[in-house]
Amino acid sequence: MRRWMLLSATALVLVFAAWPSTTGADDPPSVHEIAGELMCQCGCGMTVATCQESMPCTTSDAMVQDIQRQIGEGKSKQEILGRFASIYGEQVLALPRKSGFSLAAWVTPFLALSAGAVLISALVWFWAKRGAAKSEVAAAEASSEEFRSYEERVDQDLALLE
Amino acid sequence: MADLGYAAIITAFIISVYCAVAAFVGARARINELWLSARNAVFVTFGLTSLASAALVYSFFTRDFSIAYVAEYSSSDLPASYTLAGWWAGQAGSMLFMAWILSLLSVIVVVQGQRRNREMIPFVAAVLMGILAYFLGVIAFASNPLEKMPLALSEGMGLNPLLRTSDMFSHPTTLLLGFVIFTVPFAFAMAALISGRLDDWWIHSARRWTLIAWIFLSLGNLFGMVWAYTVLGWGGYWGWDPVENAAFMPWLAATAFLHSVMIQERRGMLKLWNMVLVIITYTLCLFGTLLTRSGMLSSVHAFAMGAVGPLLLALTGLVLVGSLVLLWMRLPRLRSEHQLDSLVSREASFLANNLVLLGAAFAVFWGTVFPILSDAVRGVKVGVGPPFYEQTMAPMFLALIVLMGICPLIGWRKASPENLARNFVYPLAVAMPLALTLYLVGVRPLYAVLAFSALGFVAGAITLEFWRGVRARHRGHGDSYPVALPRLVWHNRRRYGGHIVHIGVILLAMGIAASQMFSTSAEATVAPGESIAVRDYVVTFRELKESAGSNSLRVTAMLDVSRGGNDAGTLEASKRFEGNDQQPVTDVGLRSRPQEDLYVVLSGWTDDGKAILKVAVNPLVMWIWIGGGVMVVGTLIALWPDGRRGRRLPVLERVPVGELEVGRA
Repeated sequence: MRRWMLLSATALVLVFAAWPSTTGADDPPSVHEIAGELMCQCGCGMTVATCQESMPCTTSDAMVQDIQRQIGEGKSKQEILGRFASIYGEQVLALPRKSGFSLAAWVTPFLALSAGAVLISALVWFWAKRGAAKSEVAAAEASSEEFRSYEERVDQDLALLE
Repeated sequence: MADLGYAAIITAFIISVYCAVAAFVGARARINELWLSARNAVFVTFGLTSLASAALVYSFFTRDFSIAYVAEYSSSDLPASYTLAGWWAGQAGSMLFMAWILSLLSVIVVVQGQRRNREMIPFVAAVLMGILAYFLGVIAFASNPLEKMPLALSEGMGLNPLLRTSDMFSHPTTLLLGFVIFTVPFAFAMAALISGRLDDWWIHSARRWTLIAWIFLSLGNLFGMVWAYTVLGWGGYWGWDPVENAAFMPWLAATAFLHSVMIQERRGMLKLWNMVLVIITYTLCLFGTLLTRSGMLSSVHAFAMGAVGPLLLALTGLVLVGSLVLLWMRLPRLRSEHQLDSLVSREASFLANNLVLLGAAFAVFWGTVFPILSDAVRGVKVGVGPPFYEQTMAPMFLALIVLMGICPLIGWRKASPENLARNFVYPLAVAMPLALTLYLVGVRPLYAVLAFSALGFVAGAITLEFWRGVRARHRGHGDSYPVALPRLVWHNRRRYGGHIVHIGVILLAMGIAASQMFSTSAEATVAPGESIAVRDYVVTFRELKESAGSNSLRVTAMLDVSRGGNDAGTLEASKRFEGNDQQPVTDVGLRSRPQEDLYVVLSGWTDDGKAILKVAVNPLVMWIWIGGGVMVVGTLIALWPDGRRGRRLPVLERVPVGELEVGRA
């Protein structure tokens, strides 16, 4: 069973290592893909894609038309997103930029999680070490206690013999 | 009636302040009469908040449009069922609704306190009534739902059409109940800190109340997902809206507490940590209330900005700082009775689970407040939308699922290599071939394979737990296998109730993963007779129908559906325009089956009778709702009182009220 599992694990690692990319870099972006990465500016707090699907909204309609026009002009996804950011500011992007101050949005949760993991591991290691030391002392105390009780019993038995 | 109701609010505010002070002083100074007086004040406060609520409901049903809140949230033509919903539809009314629930909970806690924790209940009541007093103060002086206008309107503005749905009775009520019920475990924890009695007495009550709050919060979130999916036409069930996030964060923190509390109950460890988790959970509940009511973030849920925001911010700060100061003062007495023995132990795996749950809560919190932070630091508001949460939360959820499978497999204190090998072999034997099979049948992307194989691992682990228990009952008690299973669950309700909750999570996660990663959609403008094809479905647009009611108009797209060339019935997707402002509401056309949903939204139409339709095929969505239901059933099983434990405990004699003794810290 273990050998079989080891083989499966190895196969899995090889599969994941050779995992193919799902989208090509040269694929033209779709309207929905870009609308899903832009926040509607009507104040609904939803992406352009969601806002357009759920309610009549002239703002999202205009933004979708603008996306369609720019795709028609052959612009890339990043160029289109950049164009919207230059008009509305960074608040139009559903994904904060991975540079400057906005990088903190991405990094902080994982930094906090990593710091927590390190702290917990260190604490558990420390407790486990202290616990092991305590149990050694307890074992030593128990054995000397046990030895003393045996000595007492021997003394009592010898006294009875006398 | 409105004047009477407002007088009741003011009186309830004064009495609740008195009650909080009297209960605390009575408990500290052992003045029994003072506690008895405070105890009566709890009942009086409940009576007064009930009177105020009744006055508001009465005003709604009698269409008293001289009251601003009633005029804003109802109209003469509003059906009676939705008229009641006006109570919690707006900010002021929902605050009164929350205050009424809190006063009811205070009564339940005090009545239960006659049998359990008699000495500590005055401290619990003092905290509950202190918080209730603050809410009543806000209602009385900043957000009065019974406030009269100088001139009565002849007609009300009516309830927002989006809120005219049966979901209005399930989603907001359960969510508000969840938020408010979390006050009770917080009050128990604070009572322990204030009184200095830091043994396990508070943990048992806090765990039970947390489970009740957790059920309501889970239901509230689920009902919200159903509402979003079927009525709002968001195109999904979760939009990572700031207010959705506000309900999700305390749910994550409470889930962490429900796991770590087991370690304190079993091994007397993590006392400090459990206190911290209760404080975080309740602070997040208040933060959620603040987010909804302050108008600080754009959201489809949020109420308008008003004076309530700063007052709730002050309460959140007060609760957080006050409880942390108390915690600091009691720190030396919160030492664990035992310590962790090994990194490879169930205790350590529970800590890892806590870490990821809190990490997820922090990621959601961070994403929610980052636009405000960025605005404050750089003067630039940054957008943080659903794709951010999907990218940051996906690895954390994956880790949580894996941990959900690992935790029950590792022994307490220190797991031996034999223990690990014996317990992990079968779940891995499910997960690894599943991963390979998924890959070979062409499932992409990588996350999908990882997620489904992780779910397979957890399913294997839970099945193993059930199988071992059933086999032990079969061997030990001679039960047949079909009989052994229900008996096993019934006799170990807490343990197997927890496993059933995990089965629910597997089903829910399976539905979410499949619908997020494999959903297919198409949008087109079609003339009558034209079709849209998505996967093996073909949706043919037949015609548009208009139906007018009193003050409403509905436009419906009549659709014929075929699947794989076979007739699959008809569907209707519509938009209705209701109320004075004729705000549009989407009613999704839905064909729901266990394997997939056919989901049609009528986005619009043209003057020449063409329909703009969005057609989507969303796989396994039904399992999200089934999983949610299983989670609730599992929680109810875990929560069900243990009759055997009751029989083992000495029966407490009912003490006459006059003889109640109050303990000193």
